Amino acid sequence: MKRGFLLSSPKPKHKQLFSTTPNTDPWSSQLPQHILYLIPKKIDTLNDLIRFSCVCKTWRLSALPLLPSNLFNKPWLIVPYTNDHVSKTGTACDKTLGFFDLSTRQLYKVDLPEIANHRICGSCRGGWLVTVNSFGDIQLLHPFTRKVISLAPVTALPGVVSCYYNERQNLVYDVKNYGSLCTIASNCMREFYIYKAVMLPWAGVVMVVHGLNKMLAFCKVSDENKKWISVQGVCEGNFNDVTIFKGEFYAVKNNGSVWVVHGGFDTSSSPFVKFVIGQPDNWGYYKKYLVEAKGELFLLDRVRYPLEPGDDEADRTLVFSIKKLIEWNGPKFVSVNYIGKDCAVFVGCNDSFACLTSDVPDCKGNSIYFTDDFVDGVSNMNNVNIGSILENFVNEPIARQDIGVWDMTADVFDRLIYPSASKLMNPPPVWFTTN
Amino acid sequence: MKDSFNPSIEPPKKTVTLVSSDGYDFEVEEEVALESQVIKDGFEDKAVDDREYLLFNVHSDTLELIIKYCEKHVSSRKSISAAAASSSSSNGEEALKEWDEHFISVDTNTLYDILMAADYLNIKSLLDLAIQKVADTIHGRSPEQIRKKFNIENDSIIDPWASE
Repeated sequence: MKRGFLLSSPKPKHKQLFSTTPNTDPWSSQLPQHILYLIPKKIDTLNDLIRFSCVCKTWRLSALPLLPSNLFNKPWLIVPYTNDHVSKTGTACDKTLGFFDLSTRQLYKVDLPEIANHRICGSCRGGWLVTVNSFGDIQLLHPFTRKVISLAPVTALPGVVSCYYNERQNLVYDVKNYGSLCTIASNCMREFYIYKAVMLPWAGVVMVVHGLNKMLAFCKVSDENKKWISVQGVCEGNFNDVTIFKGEFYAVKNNGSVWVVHGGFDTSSSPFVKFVIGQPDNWGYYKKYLVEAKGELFLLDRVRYPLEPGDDEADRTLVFSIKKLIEWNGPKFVSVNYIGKDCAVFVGCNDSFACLTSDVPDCKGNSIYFTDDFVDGVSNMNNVNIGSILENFVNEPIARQDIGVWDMTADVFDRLIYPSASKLMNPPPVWFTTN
Repeated sequence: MKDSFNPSIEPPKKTVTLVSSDGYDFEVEEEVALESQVIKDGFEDKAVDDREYLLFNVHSDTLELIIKYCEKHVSSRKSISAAAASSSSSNGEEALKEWDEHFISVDTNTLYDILMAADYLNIKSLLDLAIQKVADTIHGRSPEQIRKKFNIENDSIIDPWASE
């Protein structure tokens, strides 16, 4: 296509006049504005967009109009990113997640191959998720950076006796349960064996409520040979939740008693739980959460409709009973019906936290946002047939979706914070915040 | 009375001349040049013997690629519509997509040149292709990896999730 004489004369290799290849950094400094703004529009996942915005100042400016506002403060609901709200892999995650923005009701796509076939059992400050799969791998995973840090596996947890393929070539785990030994399928292990995980960021310690009888153990992220170490003094277990309050792990049992983990996490120390306070009322039946809000510790009992399965209202949250821990001649619980009009509390099986409405203006103050607590469907693990009970539960989950917000001031429930209300979602939505 | 189709008596193709920023002439068929919206706009106002375009923003290396792209798209469009007219099945669209993908698999310097040329010449499908390639290159990479790939200096914005 070039004229003959030009083809025969070799072109100079270096580019001369009006060269469009500038010396350095053309991508950040010389792209015309209108092109620069076209690029982020072609990026269809939130985590790619966030990483794009971190490359340089000019790229950040072009991404800003597309990034959700208040990205670092706002709570997200992690949901399945499929049309029918059901993951193709049962209660484990697909490789793509949906991040639902409660205030704009917009759903963002987050590509995360690292989370495929894992269940999210904890969301920690800074945005780290703790995940577990049926092969027993436990990892810390950041959905935006996609950084993965492996923790010690399930098989290293106290109480896990062995892991093997049974005669039907299914992977199963032999675990101790209230003194006896039972065999559970690998997908049941994934759903139930780690009940809740939380990280103490400054110490790099991940604490889990583990085992069918809900004991406490921790793993140090920085250890070269990572291992799970039992917290001493736990006795019968039955922990319902573990959280961080004033830089320490606090845990609550299903009888409402609150315990604190003492003793440090150095190699030489052996941490133990110390009794803080018992619960005056007997709300033993209900799921409990510990939440730090505005520097104070709150104990929430999630009270559900005591109806039979099959009824529309069955298992729906009816009210939260709230107690605040105060110091008055020693620790005391006082019942409250007010957390603060400047404060919203979020509760769910994998994470509970509080947000100030000054940081997240779209949140309703003095309100409790709640998401489904799938793992609470089996309340009593102390059963010889627990292996098959769990299997039935995982294979045929009860079709319920208990998601909403309770405005304490007006005593009003809004159960439509996520658009697919009344449909079974699998895995159940969980909270996420980088705050 | 319609003439029967006979390729041997096809009239000679009209051409235009494109001049690259480094002074090389490229003679291309009119319809290929018209893939550029910039050339198309006001094309009819230009005298037939004055159909020379000075493209001072496009280097010959890049112009060669751009012409290759336009030629392919003109010929593919023809064969696709011919297949549609004779209602014979054709995977022309698919094949073209594949060709595009291969075409745009270039290093980031070349990609930059194509992007700028496609913008300057206003060839929308090529601009889309190049921008999509940028987005695909970003997919799954960390900010540091992206900087390395595109040779971008870190102007020390705070990466809120920088690890370690």
